Amino acid sequence: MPSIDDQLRTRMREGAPRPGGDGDLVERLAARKHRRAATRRIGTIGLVAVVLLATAGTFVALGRAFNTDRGPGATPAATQTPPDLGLGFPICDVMSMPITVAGAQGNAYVFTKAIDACPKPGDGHRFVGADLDGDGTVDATAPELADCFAPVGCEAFAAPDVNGDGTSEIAVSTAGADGYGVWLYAVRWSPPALEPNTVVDPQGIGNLQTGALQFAWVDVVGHAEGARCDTLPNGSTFTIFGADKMDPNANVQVTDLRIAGATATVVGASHDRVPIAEAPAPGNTLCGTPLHGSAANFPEAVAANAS
Amino acid sequence: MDEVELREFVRERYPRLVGAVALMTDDFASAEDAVQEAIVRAWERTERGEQIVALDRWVAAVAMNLSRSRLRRLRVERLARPRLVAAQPVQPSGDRIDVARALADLPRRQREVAVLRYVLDLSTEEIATQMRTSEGTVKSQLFKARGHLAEALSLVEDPDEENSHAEHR
Repeated sequence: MPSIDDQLRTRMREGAPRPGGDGDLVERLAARKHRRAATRRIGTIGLVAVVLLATAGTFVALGRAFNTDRGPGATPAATQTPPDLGLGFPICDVMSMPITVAGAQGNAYVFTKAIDACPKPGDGHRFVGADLDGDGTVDATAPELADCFAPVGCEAFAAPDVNGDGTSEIAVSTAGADGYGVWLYAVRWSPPALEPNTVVDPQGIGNLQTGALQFAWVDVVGHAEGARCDTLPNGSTFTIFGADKMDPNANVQVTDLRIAGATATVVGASHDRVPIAEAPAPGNTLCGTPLHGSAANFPEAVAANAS
Repeated sequence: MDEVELREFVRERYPRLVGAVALMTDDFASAEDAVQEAIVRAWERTERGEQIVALDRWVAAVAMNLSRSRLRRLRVERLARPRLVAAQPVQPSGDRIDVARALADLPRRQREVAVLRYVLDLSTEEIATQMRTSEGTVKSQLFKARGHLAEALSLVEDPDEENSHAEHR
């Protein structure tokens, strides 16, 4: 009878998953190597550009600081002082993005409550708020944001109008190593309110859990997740997708949501196998609106978030 | 490492390395990704003229480090991902399920030690070096892992072997 060690050796080797036939694996490894080399070159070029811009910026800033001869109509230089959003408490680390509220312009803000000094990203209390009429004061805030992890913390992500009702939804993100976790908030005009969107699935058909609407924004080797707006014959939907990519196909799961106010109702779902080239992927826009903050040049910026 | 060596390495060692990392991480796709990344890094190093002694050991170590690091770094996405009901993975069957379950019950370090020992055939000294710990700790972890796995997989000890083990202990 074989020893326990030999039996374990046999059982574990037989029990280990095995990759499929990889006739082109060497070619894929070569392609991966070229991509790494290209990324390094881009990184070097970027670093040089940043250093040059920083140097130029320093000269400009010093020039302005020592130039007392301001011409008529000259405006004061921008300062690091955060804007007064009428919240009644000091704030810092403010991010803003324009939103549309019933066709008018407003602003969404993500900010940190200042306590003596400004807490580092990932620390302190961070909130999302909205100025609904563009008067520079926040009219509505949502409960404190959770899971704002260092080193990036929570950010304003995008402000798409996902249901075409003329009012933006506000997307807020938390950055991870390979992408973002995103929450969606509904903007209510009267009375002013910001409410987290909540998933309901009356037919039990979706690939989503019910409760607060969250989705990931990730595009890594083998896996992608994101969201998009689709226009269907019976109205517009907010579609959340995930794709597991295993050559040569991708398993794609999709859930269609109809969003009314703060309620996201699952109206359709599918699970398909498609060629990898046809698999959905997140980009740097959400429903046609640009991503903000560190996600602005997704996915290039993601690696930096992890450092 | 030239293309001939690379092809030979991929043919001879790649499947077992992926299997080992997948057993440790319980995630086949990321195991494949980690092993491929490690091979590419080894390839780059050899092109720069660096010598890698025992390429398979080096690739295994780097792939496992990448997997550990990735598991730590994915915590944020995982906060969002539970909202998405996981796609049904290809279900392992028979022996694979038993081995996977038995390993899943082990603490992470015991699982790693067992995989390095029984799948990749590393010596206790090599495992200690890779895990940056002492040989004594490796032996202790291996002893516990071996006992648990033997029980979970209903392995029976040869009486002579048992006596032999008892004498060694």
